[in-house]
Amino acid sequence: MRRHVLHPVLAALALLYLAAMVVSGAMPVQRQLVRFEAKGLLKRVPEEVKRVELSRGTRRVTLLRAGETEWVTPDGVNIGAAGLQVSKAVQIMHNSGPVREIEAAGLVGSDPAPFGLDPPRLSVKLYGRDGDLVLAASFGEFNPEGYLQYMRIDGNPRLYLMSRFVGGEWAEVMTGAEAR
Amino acid sequence: MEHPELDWNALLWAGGWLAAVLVLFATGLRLPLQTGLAGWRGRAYSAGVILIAFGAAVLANVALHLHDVHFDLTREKVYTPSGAAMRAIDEVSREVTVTYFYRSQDPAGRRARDLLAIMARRNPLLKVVAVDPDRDPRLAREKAIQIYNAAVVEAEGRRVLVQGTDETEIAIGIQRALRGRAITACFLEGHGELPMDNFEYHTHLESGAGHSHDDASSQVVEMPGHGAGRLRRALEAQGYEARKLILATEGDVPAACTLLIAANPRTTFLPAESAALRAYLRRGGSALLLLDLGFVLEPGLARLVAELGVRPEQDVVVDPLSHYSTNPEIVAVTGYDPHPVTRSVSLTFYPGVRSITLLPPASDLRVTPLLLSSRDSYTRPVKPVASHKVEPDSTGEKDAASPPVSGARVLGVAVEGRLDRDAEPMRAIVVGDSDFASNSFFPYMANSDLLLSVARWLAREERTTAVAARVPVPPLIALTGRQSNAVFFMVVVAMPLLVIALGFVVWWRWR
Repeated sequence: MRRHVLHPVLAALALLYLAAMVVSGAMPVQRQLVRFEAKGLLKRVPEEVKRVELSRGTRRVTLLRAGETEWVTPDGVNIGAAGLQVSKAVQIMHNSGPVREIEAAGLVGSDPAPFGLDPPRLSVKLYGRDGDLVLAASFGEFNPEGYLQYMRIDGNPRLYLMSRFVGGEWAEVMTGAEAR
Repeated sequence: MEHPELDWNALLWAGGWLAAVLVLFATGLRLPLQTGLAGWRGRAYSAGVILIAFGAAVLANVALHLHDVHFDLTREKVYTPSGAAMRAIDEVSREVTVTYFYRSQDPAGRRARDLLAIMARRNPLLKVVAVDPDRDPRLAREKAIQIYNAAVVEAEGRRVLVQGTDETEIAIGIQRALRGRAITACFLEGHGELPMDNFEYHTHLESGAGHSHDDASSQVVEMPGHGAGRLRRALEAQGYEARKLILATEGDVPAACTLLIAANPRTTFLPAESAALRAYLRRGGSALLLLDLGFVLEPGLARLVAELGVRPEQDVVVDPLSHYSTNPEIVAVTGYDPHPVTRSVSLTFYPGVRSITLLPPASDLRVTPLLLSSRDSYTRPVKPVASHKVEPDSTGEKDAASPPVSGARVLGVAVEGRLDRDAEPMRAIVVGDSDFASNSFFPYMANSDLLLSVARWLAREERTTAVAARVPVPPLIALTGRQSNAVFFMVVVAMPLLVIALGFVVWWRWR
């Protein structure tokens, strides 16, 4: 190739290469600009949960949504300020993802009793607008470290380790309902 | 990190195995599919081929399993246990169980698990159980484990908990579990010694002309304000207990003190303290005496040290040939005569070390010079600090005027034997410097190796493999004066001049 053609071709190739880098690249992720992403196992938006059923031991509690932070019993009694905590617990189920997931194959040979899921410490069932079951979760014991809590989803063989605050919110809702 | 040499024996077995498998595979490919045999002969041929192939596969697997070999192709040998840890495992003579609790998502935890598995294959007496506590919470609760990356070492009813992912620390934990006796290092205090609770350190080297650590009459570096906390931590990592000992109040060295460390006493001992130290050594005790410049020995202590066959001189060793950094008063020792203490020690250095004169020791004592300066070294007298003076020193001025005589100087000795006929066998090490044991110099070069080796010898543990836990230090680049000048010249002079010169060339061509 002649010298007077070579340089423009090389320059054009260099420009093309830079353009390809621009097209194929991605903006560096800066932690302070990370977009919020709900990672909870409750995939539907919290507002779509219209009924909550909690059970601990022999006690059962059912609550129906009456507003954004208002919940009533099946008898129509408004639980007042405690409704805010129910909404918060649903919100956390939507936002807070599992810290760890253990596949069923990874549990072969393990003793399931220490997980505390049979029977569970606390069960939560969330229903949608049409009365369809959105999510049924069982909370068990804390892990040996004490910061996480075992959780299982009905119909899902995986074992989840959730922040203990997730189950803790539901436990407080249950304790409040029992006190009423 | 120290790594074992390549295991050529295992490598040869593995190479031979690979060759054998390839030969068998090539032979199998040459076997005729159509033999022309009819009836039962044909079926017998097919069954025979299948059986032989199956048998060869089983044989190959069993052979490989019994000649397990591990290749670590990473440059840093990330997946290979350190040589010291492996040697410690080789010495395990009784059954030890290590239960390692790790999080399987954590790469460091997985690495530690793999290294432990390699160590377990080395010695069948070492049983390793790796547990993810989230998957097996029962075992974690049984062992009272609430953290990840923790090893529970159990041997003969003793239990040692090691936290972390460093296999050398787990190997030390195994040694601790098997030791069966408590070793206590008593740090002498009350005379201005380096405190064992002090972790202050400097990351730079300085001479007397710069930072003020020194005796005013010398260029030597001393660290009177710093401690021996790093030495203490290193001893504790070996499973030793550390405690303070103030002789003036306790009156006697407790029997629990396996070894006594006097690191840089500055004020003179009381006669009763010297007597207590002598009584301790007569009972078969072990002492590390780091007697720095400026310390004046009380007559009773001077007599005891003379019985040990040494006399610390009031002078500083200057070594123009073998020194660390650019300061000839930081004497470096690169070679040692054979002794259990210095068996695996490389370069050590001593900022501001006083020389030691060898005297005839008490009858049953053996004195071995451990540390020697180079043949080019000489000494320069240093006046004792006035407040430390016990007797008038009339020799200082005269010695200062005399020309220096070059020759190797003794910097440290090991003493072993009985102080008198009725005494128990004792051990002692006397060094004319303490700065090398201070926090500022302990982690560098082989100073920590030497001090740990000293402690192990004094504790009569020299037969077991030394596994030293790592001391985390900030990265340090040590440059000689010439290198510093070269860096300055390149960055401050040469590079700007180069830019100017290039600019001038471009301007000249475009002009």
